[in-house]
Amino acid sequence: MIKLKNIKKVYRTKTIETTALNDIDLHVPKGEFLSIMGPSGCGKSTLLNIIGLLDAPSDGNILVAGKSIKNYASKETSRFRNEKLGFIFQSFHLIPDLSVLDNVELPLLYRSISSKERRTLAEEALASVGLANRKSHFPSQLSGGQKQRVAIARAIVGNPEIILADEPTGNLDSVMGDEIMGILTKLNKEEGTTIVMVTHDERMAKKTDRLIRLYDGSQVA
Amino acid sequence: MIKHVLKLLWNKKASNALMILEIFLSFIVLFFVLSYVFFNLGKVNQPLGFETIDIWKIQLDGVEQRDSLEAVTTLQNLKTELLSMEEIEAVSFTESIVPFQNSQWRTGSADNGFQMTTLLVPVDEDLKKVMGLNITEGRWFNEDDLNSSMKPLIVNQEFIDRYYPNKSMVDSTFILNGDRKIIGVIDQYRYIGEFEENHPTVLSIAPYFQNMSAVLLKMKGNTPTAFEEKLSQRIANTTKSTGNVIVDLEKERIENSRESWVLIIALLAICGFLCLNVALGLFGVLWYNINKRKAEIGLRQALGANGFDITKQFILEILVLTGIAILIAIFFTIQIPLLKVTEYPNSLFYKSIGFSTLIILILVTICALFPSVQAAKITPANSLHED
Amino acid sequence: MISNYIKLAWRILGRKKFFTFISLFGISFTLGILMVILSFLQSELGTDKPLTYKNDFVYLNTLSLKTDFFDTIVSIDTTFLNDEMVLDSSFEIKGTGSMNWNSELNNGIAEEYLSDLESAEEVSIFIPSSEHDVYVNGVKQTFSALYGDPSYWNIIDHQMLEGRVFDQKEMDAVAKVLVVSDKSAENYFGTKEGVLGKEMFIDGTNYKVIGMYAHTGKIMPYVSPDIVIPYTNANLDNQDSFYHGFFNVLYKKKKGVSADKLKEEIVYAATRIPMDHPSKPEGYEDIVFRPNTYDEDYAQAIYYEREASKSYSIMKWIIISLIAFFVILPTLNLINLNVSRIMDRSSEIGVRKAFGAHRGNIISQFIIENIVQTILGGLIGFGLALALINMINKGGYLMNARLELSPKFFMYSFLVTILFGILSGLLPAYKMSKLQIVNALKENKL
Repeated sequence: MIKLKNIKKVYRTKTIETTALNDIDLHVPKGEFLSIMGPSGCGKSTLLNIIGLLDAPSDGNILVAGKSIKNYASKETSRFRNEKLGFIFQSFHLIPDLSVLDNVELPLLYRSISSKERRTLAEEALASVGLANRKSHFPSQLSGGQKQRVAIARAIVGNPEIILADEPTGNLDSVMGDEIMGILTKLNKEEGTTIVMVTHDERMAKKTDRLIRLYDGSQVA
Repeated sequence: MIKHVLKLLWNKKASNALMILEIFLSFIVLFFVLSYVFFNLGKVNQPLGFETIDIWKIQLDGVEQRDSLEAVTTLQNLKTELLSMEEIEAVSFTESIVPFQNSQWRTGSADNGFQMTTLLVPVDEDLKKVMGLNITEGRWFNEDDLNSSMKPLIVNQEFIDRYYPNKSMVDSTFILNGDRKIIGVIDQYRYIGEFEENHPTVLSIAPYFQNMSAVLLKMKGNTPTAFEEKLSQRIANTTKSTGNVIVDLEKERIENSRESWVLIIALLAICGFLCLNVALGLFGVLWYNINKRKAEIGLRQALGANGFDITKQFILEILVLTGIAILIAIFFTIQIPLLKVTEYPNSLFYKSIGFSTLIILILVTICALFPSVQAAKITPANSLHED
Repeated sequence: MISNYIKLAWRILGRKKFFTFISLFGISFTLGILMVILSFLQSELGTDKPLTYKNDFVYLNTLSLKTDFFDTIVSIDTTFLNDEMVLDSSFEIKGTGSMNWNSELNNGIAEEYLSDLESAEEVSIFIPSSEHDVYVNGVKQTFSALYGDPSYWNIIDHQMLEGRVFDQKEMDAVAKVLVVSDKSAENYFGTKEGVLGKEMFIDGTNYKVIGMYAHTGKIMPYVSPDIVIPYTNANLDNQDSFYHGFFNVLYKKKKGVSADKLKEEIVYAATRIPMDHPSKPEGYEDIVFRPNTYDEDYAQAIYYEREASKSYSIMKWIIISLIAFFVILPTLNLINLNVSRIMDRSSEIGVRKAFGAHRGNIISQFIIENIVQTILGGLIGFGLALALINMINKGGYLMNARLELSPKFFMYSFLVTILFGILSGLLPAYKMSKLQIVNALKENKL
């Protein structure tokens, strides 16, 4: 599903070069739940961004869902992200001015489907994370766990093949974190969605199929 | 500090360029509007040189075109008739060049060794009495002047100032459509209107009742407007013509200047709005920027800056920005007086530049003050931890 | 999709009330003033009644007697009568110069040499404005009378409210009849009702009212006279000469013919006028006609240049640059404000991009948001414009012009509003769409 070969990411300023990722080789088969761990600044978020086609690598090859990416700003890449990928962020990134339902609908806005169909799909996605009764609330009226559940609903509403989660439990207490992990695991098992998750939390990482560790931009385990 | 501020501004040059452009354009708009307003107010502030209250003007209907002997008799009768009315104190007959009529006779020559251009007004000997003209030197016309061999003229002060400065010209002669003698000087007679410049003007005595098409009347105070109808009747009976029009000169003065006032007020209102708009916009942008830089402010405070330093820094930032914009604007606008692009006095443009600078600086400082003081209140604790 | 953007725009406007107020203040004032200008231009230079055929007008108001000089001495002698140049004998120091005597036309010249031109569909000969004092119950009123002919009504498309206009027979018979505007009827009779058949005492004569048309306050006196009287009633004894007099000539050109063609025919007609009439002032050798279109004549009335086309182009540039200057500042201001405001929402843009929005989506979202805001401002501005227009009409502040609210005015106002929205939204939207996703999602961190 995801193949990275010799991925390098170097941040350059006039005077210094910082290597964020160094020769990463990674293969994630379809249906796997992979977690990436490592200390702060080890490059795990950078790696996730590269997998999510949000950031371009400095060097190396990348193949996601059978697609090799050249131009990261193109319309085609946008469409690919829209159809194949779903994102979950540590700080939720819900749009404060949109209702829960409108937030969930967001990925569908960039597809050509009717508003009625959008609504139905978004309601289904909300129901699957157990928030059907909160659809007309606004993000500020929800708890952290609820916000992250809305974010998951937004990530799955477009029925993506891959979900990329950047510390989805990082801002939550352990009960809520477990709840979120439960939803993700269920998604992986029942729908067969490939999930790549970056985490700090050893306990959460253990619940996944495979764990890799990064240190200073290199894979150590 | 200044160096530090300049560095900060330079690092954000793209967004600052827009601000500079906006302030620059505001300056340009202010400059032109103020120049226009100062110029016109300068004209209005000069006295007209004649009275308008209790003066009526009659436009005669075609009397002048009649066979001249008949016309002269008719007008002579009219004069007697008008003077017999107790509401009327004085009567002056003139050609078509009367106040606020937009009629003018411009004449000139180079026969005196230089190019001379002046307004020419044919008048009769009663005009001074009716209009309250002010003789500053020499004398007014008398009956004998009509027959004098060298045609006498009365000129205004502007004529002297422009063509014969620092000289007493009474009893001097010069050439203007023939030999002329100056017998007196009036301060001014700006008959075209309050917003007209003070041109060199020459009054020349015209032979009685020839080509006369207007009459100016000095009325007794508090003559009721209802008298107009009676007057109109009497004129119609005497001249056998019904198309005469009577106008109150004071009303006409107001009417005549109204368009110019409307324009000045509209320009000032629009300019005021533009300034307010720009000020509010500036305020908004500053407020946003300061909010966005909360972390920076917090950091500065953590590093030992006090509230006053923060306020000073932000105000200095915006003042430097404004200063750059104003300097560019002054560079352009000052070319107008320097290169003498127009015939208007240079002092006008310097005055406008000064006032524009002042207004913009005041506005900008006010706009910067409030958000900057807000910024100073930010504490490191809440700003650095904000997400 | 659009409805989502509009919904979002609405919420954002409500959330940041202070900034919404600043933006709306600028937008509404700018658009309000623009609408007043639009209304003025539409009323004065548009093709609403009675200027329905205005674009077909060719107007001749001056007959110029002219002599060319060579090797002249310097001398200036210019007379303006009622703001119109009557006599102009300005000489240049070197080279050639000319002496002109300009005045309105004698009706004889107009009838004989100017009323039968190939490209003209209609020709009207009239005295545009002759003021008469009328005393109604002891109160003086001044009426501006147009002494015209039946063709006048075919060119100036007045909306008739009652009765009829006079015909050629009445013209020839010097019938004492007139057609009055509803406003003047009310001023004279105290009512607009049942004035047909009543008499008005104008310039020493009783005229019977045979028709009434709707008053339209236009600056050009011949477009909105107070009363119209057959010109055979005018006292024509006092016309200057065989050449000069009181009359103007207004043409409506044939469809499909260019105005320039008609102008050429008028200019050529001058050569057919005999120059040996005893009343001709001495020293003048040629007759020159300078016919103008309506717009040119209008510009010349406001800013005098001898060639009306020059007046027109000067006026045009003055108006365009004034409007441009007036619009550019609020636009810049709004752009600055929008750029700051949008920066607040970079994380939203990051999310949208992560979920598949491409640059076009982002640009159109922000432009739609801006248009929503502009339309709101436009509505307020429209209210402001209505108040201003009402004030101007009541006070007669714009040379007594009456500003109209026509359907075209609404259309143009709407177009201007949308254009303003797009213009002021484009740059911020473009800037936003360029944002890198990774950076956008990281915002709010030092």
